[in-house]
Amino acid sequence: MAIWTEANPFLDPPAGENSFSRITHNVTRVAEAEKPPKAWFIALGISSTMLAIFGISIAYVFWNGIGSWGNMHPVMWGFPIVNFVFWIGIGHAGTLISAILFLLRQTWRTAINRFAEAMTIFAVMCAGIFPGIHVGRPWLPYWMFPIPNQMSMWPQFRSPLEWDIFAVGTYFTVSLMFWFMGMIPDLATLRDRATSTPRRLIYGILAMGWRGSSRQWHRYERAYLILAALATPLVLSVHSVVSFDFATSQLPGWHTTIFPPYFVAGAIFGGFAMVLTLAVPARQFFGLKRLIAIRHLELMNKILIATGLMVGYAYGMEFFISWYSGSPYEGFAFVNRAFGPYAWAYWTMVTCNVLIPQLHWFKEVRTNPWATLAIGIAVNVGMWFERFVIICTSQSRDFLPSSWGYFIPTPFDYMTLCGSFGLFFTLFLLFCRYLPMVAMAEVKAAHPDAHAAHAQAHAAVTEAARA
Amino acid sequence: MLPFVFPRWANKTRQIAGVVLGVAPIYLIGLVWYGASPKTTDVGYMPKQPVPYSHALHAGELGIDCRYCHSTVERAGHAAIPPAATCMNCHRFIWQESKKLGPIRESAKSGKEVEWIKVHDLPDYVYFNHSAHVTRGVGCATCHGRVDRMVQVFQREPLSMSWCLDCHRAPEKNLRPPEEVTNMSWKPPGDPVAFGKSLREKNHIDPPTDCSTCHR
Amino acid sequence: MKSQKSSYWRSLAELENSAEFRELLEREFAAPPENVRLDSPERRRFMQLMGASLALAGVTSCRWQKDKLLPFSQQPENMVPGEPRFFATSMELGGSANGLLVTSYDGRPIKVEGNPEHPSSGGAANLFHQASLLSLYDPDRSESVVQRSGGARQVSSWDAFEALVKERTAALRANGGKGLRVLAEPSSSPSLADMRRRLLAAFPSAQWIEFSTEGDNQQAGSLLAFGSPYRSHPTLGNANVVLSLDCDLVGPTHPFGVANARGLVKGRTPDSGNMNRLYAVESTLTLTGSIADHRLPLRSELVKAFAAALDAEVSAKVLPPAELGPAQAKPQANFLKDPKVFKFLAVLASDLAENRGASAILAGAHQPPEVHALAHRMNAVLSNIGRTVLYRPELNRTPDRELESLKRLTEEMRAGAVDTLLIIGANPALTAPADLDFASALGKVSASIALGEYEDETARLCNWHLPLAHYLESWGDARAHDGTLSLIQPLILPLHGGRSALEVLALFAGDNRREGLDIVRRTHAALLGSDRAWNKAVHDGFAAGTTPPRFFPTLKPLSALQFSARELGDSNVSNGALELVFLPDSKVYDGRFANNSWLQELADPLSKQSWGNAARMSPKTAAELRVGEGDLVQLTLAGRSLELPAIFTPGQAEGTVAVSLGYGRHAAGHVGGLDEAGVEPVGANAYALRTIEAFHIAPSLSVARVGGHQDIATTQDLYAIDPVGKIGSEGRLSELVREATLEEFKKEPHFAREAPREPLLSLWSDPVSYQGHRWGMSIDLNRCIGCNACVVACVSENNIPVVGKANVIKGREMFWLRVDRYFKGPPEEPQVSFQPIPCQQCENAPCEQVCPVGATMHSHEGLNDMVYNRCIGTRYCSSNCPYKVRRFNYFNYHLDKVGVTPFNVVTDRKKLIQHMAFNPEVTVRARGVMEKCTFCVQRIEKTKIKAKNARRSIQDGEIKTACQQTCPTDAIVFGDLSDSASQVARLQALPRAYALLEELNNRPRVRYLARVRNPHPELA
Repeated sequence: MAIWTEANPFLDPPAGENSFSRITHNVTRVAEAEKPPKAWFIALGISSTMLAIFGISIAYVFWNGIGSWGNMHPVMWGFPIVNFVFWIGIGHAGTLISAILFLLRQTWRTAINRFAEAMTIFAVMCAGIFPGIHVGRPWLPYWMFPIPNQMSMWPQFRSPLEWDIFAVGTYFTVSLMFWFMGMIPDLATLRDRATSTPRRLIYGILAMGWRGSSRQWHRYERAYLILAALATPLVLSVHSVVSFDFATSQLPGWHTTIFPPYFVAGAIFGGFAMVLTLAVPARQFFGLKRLIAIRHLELMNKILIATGLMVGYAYGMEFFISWYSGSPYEGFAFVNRAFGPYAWAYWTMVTCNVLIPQLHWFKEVRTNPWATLAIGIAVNVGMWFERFVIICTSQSRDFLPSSWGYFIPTPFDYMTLCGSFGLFFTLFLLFCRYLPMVAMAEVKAAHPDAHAAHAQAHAAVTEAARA
Repeated sequence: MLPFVFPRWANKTRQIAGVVLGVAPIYLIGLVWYGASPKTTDVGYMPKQPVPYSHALHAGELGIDCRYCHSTVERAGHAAIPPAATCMNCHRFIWQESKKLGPIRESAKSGKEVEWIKVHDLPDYVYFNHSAHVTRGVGCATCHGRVDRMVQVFQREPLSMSWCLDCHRAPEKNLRPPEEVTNMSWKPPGDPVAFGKSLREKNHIDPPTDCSTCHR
Repeated sequence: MKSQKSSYWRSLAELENSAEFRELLEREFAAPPENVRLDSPERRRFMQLMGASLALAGVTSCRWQKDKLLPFSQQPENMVPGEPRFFATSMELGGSANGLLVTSYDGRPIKVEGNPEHPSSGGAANLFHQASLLSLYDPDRSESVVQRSGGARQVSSWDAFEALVKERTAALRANGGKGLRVLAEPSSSPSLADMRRRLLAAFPSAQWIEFSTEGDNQQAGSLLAFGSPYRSHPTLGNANVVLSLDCDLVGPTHPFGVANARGLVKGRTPDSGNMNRLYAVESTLTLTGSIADHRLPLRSELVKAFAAALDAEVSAKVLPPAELGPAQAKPQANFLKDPKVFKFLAVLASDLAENRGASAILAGAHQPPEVHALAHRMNAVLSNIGRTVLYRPELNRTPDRELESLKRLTEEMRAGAVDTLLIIGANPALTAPADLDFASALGKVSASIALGEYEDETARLCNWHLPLAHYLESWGDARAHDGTLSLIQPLILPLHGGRSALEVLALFAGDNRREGLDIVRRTHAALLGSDRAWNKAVHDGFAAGTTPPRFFPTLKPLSALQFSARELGDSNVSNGALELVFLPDSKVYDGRFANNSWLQELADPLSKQSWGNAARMSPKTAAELRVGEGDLVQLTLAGRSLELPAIFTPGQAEGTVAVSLGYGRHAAGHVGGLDEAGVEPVGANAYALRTIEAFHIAPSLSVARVGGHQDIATTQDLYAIDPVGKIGSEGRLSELVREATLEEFKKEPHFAREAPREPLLSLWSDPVSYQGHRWGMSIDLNRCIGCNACVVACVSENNIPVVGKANVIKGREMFWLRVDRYFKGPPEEPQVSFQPIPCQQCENAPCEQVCPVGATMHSHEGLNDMVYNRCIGTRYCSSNCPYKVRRFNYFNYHLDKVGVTPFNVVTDRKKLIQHMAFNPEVTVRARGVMEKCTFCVQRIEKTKIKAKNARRSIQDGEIKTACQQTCPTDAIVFGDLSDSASQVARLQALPRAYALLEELNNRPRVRYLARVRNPHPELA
């Protein structure tokens, strides 16, 4: 593993006369470095190749008709929608961490919120592509937007797909603002440290004239708080609405009231898993071990256990309700999931989402970055299969046995799937390279030194108590 | 090293950006709404025909009834374009030599069709039926305009979906006694809408607005 | 119906200037005349161009390209551009004519339907009749006379051929036609018989050989029973008890299938308490077997012994002992002692005896003459003759047995005794018994002439190939099942300059009449001499009152029957001694329809297999042979072998393997298989195993797995499905297809009514308030025989694309109307149920609520309107449709016909000719669009406009959906529910009526009438 042994400039301890400047240096040196570690280039090479595959597969599908994918009758949705729901799910941790944990004053979030948010943005971008390209006539999805026209035709607002448009749209906009706003002070830092004119110009524009005056700080804090308050309900709403696509339909296995909470829990579960998957290598490559400490990983792993259990509960409850409903179709849908032709998918899901995360009960496991990474990946796989099971298995066998079928993906399905990861990782790698990966300003604010005076006061009080 | 400072004018960019972001969507929607409308793209379409046939002369001055040529309009979905034979009914006797009538005589002789250019051309997924409208008392002029004044026929109305729906939802303003449909200069006695309403009652006219009315 | 006058006139006019007519044809593909505007490529191209352009088309009706209007120079009389006209004609298949009514749109036939006034048809047409329309426009039909010498193919002309005929006939006249042979399919056409007489008169020592794949056992049987080959046909309407001896009497492959089906259901109306009882004794499961009240699976070779035993028992019951002949000795067969068979036979015999004069016994075409003789005999002793079975003298057929004469012909050909061979219609190179090796014999004939629609296997081996005119292009005549004279009139000039058999024969016979019309008129000069009579007959499509008078043949004592050990079922049927049965296919018949994509794509009613055939065997037999469903097996019979996949048929007799004929063709065309074009044959050619001895039923078959698996293109799950699925599906069948016995029904008439569970509640209020019409449909499962005629009608009416084998395997078939087939009970004796599923037009439709762009909306008359041009293809509607009736265009399936997309242009005129078959009243869907049954909304709208123009209201039954129109048993009824007097309203009010998946509260507008079976109390 040359990339580990090679001299990685980011692995030396950060320079600086006090902890604040060390933090600054630790983060900014990545963006300011002449050239990133070889590993970065290798990673970018791979991801951009996958991105190209994405483009090719979509182009081919557009050209020949979406029959190039495996979608069939009755499995009308197949991979594209599976991927859509999967990515939307990933896009949850970011806003959750930055908004909800912020409101809950969980200072440890500062270590990871910045690139959790970035991850959210990119994941939602991946997700947003699929509803557009999966339709039969991909040059027309704009008909789903309420645009005045000569046919006096409007979208059909009773359709959950229509709700998706607005839910996802809002979520993306707010997350983007949230992310960008949080970055402004750090961008200003980069601007001020910049040595070349183009960097000065670009970071300067992005910093939007931030001067760090106390008035600006005051406004900034307010706005941030308000955005956090706005974003919090969205975390719950988006995936609830996405789950309506299924919950409001008649299909056995979809027609389930537990879906909204179940989807949200699953989304947070998957989102955190993805954060971990990204955080572990990032802190390794870019020497952020001091900022993203084992403690942070451990905390996230605990959340992973919690949400994992919720998801597990949902799996169980689905079975109970389907039996309790007394509808033979509902009942069959779930028996078929677990023991029908798609059992392999179902049990993969259960193993990855319910069984494997239980390892985190052991401190050795949840404090070990590599174990964390492995389990994170496993959960991502599991969550993808969860969507596959919900969509494909349910569709493949519904009411009339005469129209049952078995969905078999084509190469283009796989190309599009891994292609979407290409898009995601490419964006993420560029982010790591050119933007502040950790919220410097916030870390500093949360740093003990920021509260030195406060600490002394404490000391005084305890002295008095002793006396 | 001095911190980088933007020139003063840069302060304006924010206001400008704000204005642009506000106006652009409205402009775009307007562009699509108006620019892409058949009102703009189709109305006034006047292709050159192989024979400079003047409706103004035949239907207008000579007052030939529309149905003399477009004979199937009351029975069929299409208002048939007359065969050359119909033209020759008269032009066997008048203007036999006219150069302009060359193609007609040619066709009548050889049996080869005259290639007229279609003016009122609906999208092919729209199933319009002339008889259904003409027999209910929707005048030719309502959709085709005063053809009797057109030397060369052009499209008068947008023929867009909303235009069709406007009438299907409130046919009153375009109704007339069925026997008057081909009368180009017909004027409703008194208040058109009131008169239309009475006709609507009388002839039980209740145009459907279901999708399958026009799309099959 | 418009008077035929105009069509007759029109045809002549076109004959005069056929050059113009060709141009008009050409123009079909360039800029169309006004009078074909609706079907112009522009319409199609538009839908295709949507590809690139809908972005705009959505927002505005933008102008694509200049549309041209080309009026006639002289308007033909009685013709309104864009208005369809209807002409009566007939199609002969299996030696019997079905009266047809063909819709012609601006001179193009676009739909074939049954002629309501015709005795055989009564408005119904089977899938072959309807799909024959597509064959008319088949680009693979041969376009020109072709001459082959030494394997070199060269395009020739009719003139050249006429020259040949001249010099040939000159030579032949000298020797009285010695060496002239004509090979034709048996036909009921009087004109053909007349031409045959004339030909044989001109060439006394010439010979006319008849050969068909279904054989002539029926005639032979009549010869045995009565001493003369009489024709017979049942009138099942008068029968209380019907017995099928291995005979698919309602199936599409039965020449009288349509008439039989209509007759049979006359006596199956439980609501009026009138139910006949149908027994079926058969080896492989057929439509007849699946609607039968009692079905006994029996190897075909055992049917003879069974029939003999039955005859013995019946005769003993109804005849004085003195009249019992040697043939009435009960055969000593062990299988008859099997309690199940024994009881069945006893009950059947008594049931027959109790219904003397009201029972009918029919034997299958592939059963030996003795079985037919026994059937004839039993009908006679039960005094059914004249009541339920009618006889008439054979007028047309040559007396000698088909196979013998064909054998003789081949020997003569080998011996070089034949110098001129004219093959009419038939394709012996494919269909003749393999051991004759007809193909090689053809090489010995100096002048072999094949007259056929395609340049098929036979044509490729002959020196001359002549394009045969399609029946929609030519004059002719034939006899209906009851002997009624039916006329065949052309609706269009021969597209490829073909000529009819009559015209070619006239050429040979040196007849002074050369035009088909003259020939036919001459034949019937006596009957239809006057123009009035003739015009009426052509207008009606048949000559009324030409049914031969009733005729009572007298039985001839039957000599004692001989049974081989096999026929007594004594020898065991282990592998190597299995029985193989050859059957005409339910889709391609004997192979003549192999290039018809509608039929190829159609799913076999029972195996649900499309695009190919398979070795059908019972699951048990398969288990013994260790063969799985879809496994490739090798059938070996007397040294000849054939590879094809195995498919399970529950209810098939143990030890019987059945294969259908007509597949595996190498010269059918671009659909059915064409070697030079690299088109793989569809299915496997079972003729390769067929020999003179084993022509219908072959013993000593051995089956071997060759390893390897083939994906069978089925539109429903294969029989062998995973246990979870099996349990799950069987569990719900009793709710989906509700059935009861007549007894149960009488006790509890409402047995089917109530929903198994409380309906769900809806969030939405009704999308529309229903004023005026409320369209609805009722489908009587008790009448449905699963014959697929409705499916083809739907395909033809609604321009439904064919997707091909690969896509059917993927499960992307597009047919809007499907006939679901379910098996209940043990695989040895399954109960079969058919359930036609069109769009249920739910009032509370799940599809409408989820479409984001409102492409499917509710009409005020209660239809789920589907707006193709608004659909963007999210497929959410289909996901949410519990009946899965919505179909999606995953690709541009019409590409080859329509030709134009943003990135691909097909200009091949031969291909483009296909789109002449399109119905201009229905939009052709582009790629990426959802589509579904619309209750034939185009017909509804047309009738509404017609009625409103005339200021009148629509009569009940005035609007018929395509599926309803063609249904031979009137199982489907469509109409207005708000008119309580309408037939559909009355049917939906019946206690048997139920809604499918009612508990979902979709409130479908389709109601199913539960099926009622009528088992014999002692067998139930």
